[in-house]
Amino acid sequence: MSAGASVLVVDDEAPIRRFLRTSLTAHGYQVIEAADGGTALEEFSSAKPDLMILDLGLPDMDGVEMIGRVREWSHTPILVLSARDREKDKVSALDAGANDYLTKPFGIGELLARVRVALRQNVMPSEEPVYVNGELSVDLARRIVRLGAEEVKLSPTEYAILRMLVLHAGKVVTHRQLLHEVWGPAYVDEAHYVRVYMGLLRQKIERIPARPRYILSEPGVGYRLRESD
Amino acid sequence: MSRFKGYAYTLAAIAGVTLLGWLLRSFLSSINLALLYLPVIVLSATLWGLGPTIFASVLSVLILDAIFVPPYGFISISSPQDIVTYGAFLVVGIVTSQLSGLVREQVNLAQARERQNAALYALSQEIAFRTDRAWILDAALRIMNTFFSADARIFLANGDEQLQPYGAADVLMRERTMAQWVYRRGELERAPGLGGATFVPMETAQAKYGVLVLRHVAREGRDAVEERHALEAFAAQIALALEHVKLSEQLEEARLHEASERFSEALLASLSHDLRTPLTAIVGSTSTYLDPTVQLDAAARNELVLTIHNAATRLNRLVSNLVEMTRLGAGGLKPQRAWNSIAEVVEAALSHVNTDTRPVELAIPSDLPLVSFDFVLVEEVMVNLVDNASKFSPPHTPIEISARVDDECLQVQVTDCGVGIPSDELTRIFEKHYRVKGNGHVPGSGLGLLICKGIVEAHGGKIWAEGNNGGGTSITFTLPAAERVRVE
Repeated sequence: MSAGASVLVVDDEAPIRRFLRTSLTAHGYQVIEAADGGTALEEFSSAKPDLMILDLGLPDMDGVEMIGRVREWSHTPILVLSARDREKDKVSALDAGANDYLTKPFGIGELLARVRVALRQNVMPSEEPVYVNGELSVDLARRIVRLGAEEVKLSPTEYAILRMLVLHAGKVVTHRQLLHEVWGPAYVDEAHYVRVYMGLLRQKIERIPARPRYILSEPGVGYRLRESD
Repeated sequence: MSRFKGYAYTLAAIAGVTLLGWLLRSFLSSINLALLYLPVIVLSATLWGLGPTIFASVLSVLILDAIFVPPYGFISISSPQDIVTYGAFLVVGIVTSQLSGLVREQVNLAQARERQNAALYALSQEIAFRTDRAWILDAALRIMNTFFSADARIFLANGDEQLQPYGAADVLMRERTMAQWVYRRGELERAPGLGGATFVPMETAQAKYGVLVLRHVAREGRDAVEERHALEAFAAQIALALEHVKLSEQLEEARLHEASERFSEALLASLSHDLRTPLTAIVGSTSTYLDPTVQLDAAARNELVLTIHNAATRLNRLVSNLVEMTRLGAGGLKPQRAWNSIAEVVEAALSHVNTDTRPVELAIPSDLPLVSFDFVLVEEVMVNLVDNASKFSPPHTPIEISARVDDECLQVQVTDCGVGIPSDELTRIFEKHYRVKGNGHVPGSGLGLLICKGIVEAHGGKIWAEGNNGGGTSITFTLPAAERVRVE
């Protein structure tokens, strides 16, 4: 359903724009390119793309600032590109309203998965009541979690975490978002709460908690539930 | 004070002798009576010096004349006898006092020299071959204060030839100005205006180091000369010790500089090799791919692309290490501690290292407590350790990762089934740019373990390597984990 969607690629590095254009075009997307923030904002308002892929290191504008400006009037999904050792940038981009990020260098599989999830969420926000992936199934309507045939008993906190991840399946959920939703606004800086309960949750739904199949850690940022099959 | 004491004792002795002479006057002739006074004169010459001696001689003659020689009650030095007595008393007194004064001075001098030598010896014992400037200066001040019973201060010259008082000493502005002047002139000076302070330059043939200041009552006469020599000897001794410190610092600096240059050269050589190897693979593969004259089937094309992909991944790893290395080198590595799960670190690390060809065995209990550390940095350690383990062991052999937490620390171990490390090289592998001999064909900059060590130590932990029986290597690191976080 996302085929034919238009993607605005904003990056000052020509080789990366070329790689993205080649890969995305090959998968049926229409690609618009911009090499700097000014052009990007113009293209964004005139071409009205379905998705923007934005490199945080632009020559003329701070990427996070740009996200803020776009978010003042648009809900178009934004996918951020960032280096591996810049966790703070990723988190502030997500806080500013970016939908997800990709760590450079990335493979085409990762890129397409992120694009797909971002576009899907834009079209159908949280409309899938049942998440199924491998052995794991989560039925949000009936509040039932199963691993294979067996029902998994989760505490209310564990379930709340899992529910939040299912609602954003395939997309990163930051520590702050989890704390805000599950514990409340007063707890947004208590990241260790999430880690402890995530450990408990993984013990119940992952066969090998240190090599998780479903809930993946995004170092320094948050967690991501692997996309539904 | 002691001078007046000498006169007082002399007076008392003469009074005593006069009383004795008065009592015995009917039995003694006037010559005998005169002889009674001679011991007093000799005594005072021996014990109290020239002044009391002359005083004793004159007084004795006057008393003899007035009391024991008629006409009684009158002083009338007229007869030749009197003049002889008078002259004899004076000559005996003066000669004796000169002789004994000389002896006394010699003894005092010898004692002073001995004390000074002892103090100098003590100083040189304390400060010679020390490389700790503060230790030298403190010892010097202590010994000076004891030896001269004075309040000693030290001014040190800084790079701009400006004197700064050493330690938290209270310093008068005038004192500093005076010290600066003495420093420039390079000669000992006394400043009676400043509570009798003496200023001694501390210098060697090579350089000036500062000024020694003694706040005390300066001695006079021959003592002053002696004291001056002593002070100069002290100042020279301190200056020599400071020079030794300076030279050893310069030597160390030169050594470090040389080491760092050698390291940079080795790093550059290794880096250019490590960067070129994957780049060569990429350039070679892509040019083959693009060459219109070469016919490639799907499998061959796939092979080429896989080569490019692997080379690029390797380059990415190398760049990460260089970034960490730079941070470590700049001393800017401050762990951003947070409560983290080591299982998540292992998960993240494994997603960054290609271990597809081999089993990774995990022994990480699921109920490990959270430990406070920097996630990204410790992940870097794990990535390097797993990357090393897979580089240095045959494909398809397993890598084992285990973790446990006790009261003190978190301990993580990565074990491979590789060729192992010779036992004499187990500690050297953490040194800058060390590569185990005979592993020249394995890619890598040799920075990985150095970075691991830097990160682990920045956390207050330890890292070490062990050889396993039957080949293989274990690298273990610990992170302090005495604290625990509570979650409601």
